[in-house]
Amino acid sequence: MHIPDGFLNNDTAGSLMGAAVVAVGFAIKKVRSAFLEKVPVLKARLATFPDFGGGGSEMSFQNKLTKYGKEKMWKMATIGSLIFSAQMVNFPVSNGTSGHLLGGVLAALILGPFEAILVMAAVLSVQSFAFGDGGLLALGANIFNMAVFGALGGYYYFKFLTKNAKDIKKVFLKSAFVAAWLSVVFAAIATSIEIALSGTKALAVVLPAMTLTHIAIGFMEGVITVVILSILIKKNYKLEIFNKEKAYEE
Amino acid sequence: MKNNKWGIVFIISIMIGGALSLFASSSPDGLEKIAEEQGFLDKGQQLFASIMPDYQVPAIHSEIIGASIAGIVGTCIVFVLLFLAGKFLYQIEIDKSNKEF
Repeated sequence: MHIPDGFLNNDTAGSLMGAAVVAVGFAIKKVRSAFLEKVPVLKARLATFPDFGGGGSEMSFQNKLTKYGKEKMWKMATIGSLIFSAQMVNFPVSNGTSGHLLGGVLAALILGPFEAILVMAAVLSVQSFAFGDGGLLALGANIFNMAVFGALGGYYYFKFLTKNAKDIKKVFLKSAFVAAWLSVVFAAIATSIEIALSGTKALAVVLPAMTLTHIAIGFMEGVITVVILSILIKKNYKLEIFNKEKAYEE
Repeated sequence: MKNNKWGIVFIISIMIGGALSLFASSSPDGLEKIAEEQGFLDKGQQLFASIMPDYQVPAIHSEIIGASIAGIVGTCIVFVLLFLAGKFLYQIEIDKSNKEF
């Protein structure tokens, strides 16, 4: 679903680039705050004269990368490479069409929604710059569709589906499957709307075709997402979605 | 070691990018196929020459080896990019707060 340059007009591509920059900036801020902890540091002066000034005003704070943050950086890099390589494996769907994993929901469940935006944005940027897969001007649109709609959106479809579940583990794979499926279909709808807004093709023509094709591709997205998640769970990998202490407000 | 565990994921990614991707379907993807059917595929344009267009290394004539190398290189680029981005961003934040101290 990587939009090449030329499918979108400059207005659409430009405003989506703006939206993507805002979203990625916001995600960086969120993730960064979760990775750092404030460590209280006593000033040297206070140590020599304990009574001087008296109390907290002499206390200073220093930011430190947490152990959690260090591990998370490593995880983000490996999941990013997994998603990049998995995206290369196109599977056939129907009458001469193929599809491939997008991986937004997969990344969001393993890493958390805002980490997933950053991972997806990195994957899409490398694809565009190094491989010419997805346009340069259209990069904002692709990040918007697959990182914001796909990963962050996908995460909230999952949250919505498991809202009333008593034990999230019981409905986990089922909900992950549906969320992954929906994320692809909604990304396809967003893509169609962007193409129609650019005046490239009428919405009434492009929307049904895109939606139908991506219902089939999304099914496979669900299957691959569930397979990878079940392997990770079986091998005792820690998934962020099961982490009770959320690193940031969602 | 926890890191080794995630290291395995990276090694598997390299294998997917370098080997499994060779078995990928060469049919156009959903958007490309629809663009072709509905006649707007030719609107697509390449604004710049990427170093490995279509997941091939131009200097290598064998398509199989080219695709395999492109897959491995791409997987590594993503890994390094995300890792360095993390290091860089957190370093800035830490330096800034340390100056205030």
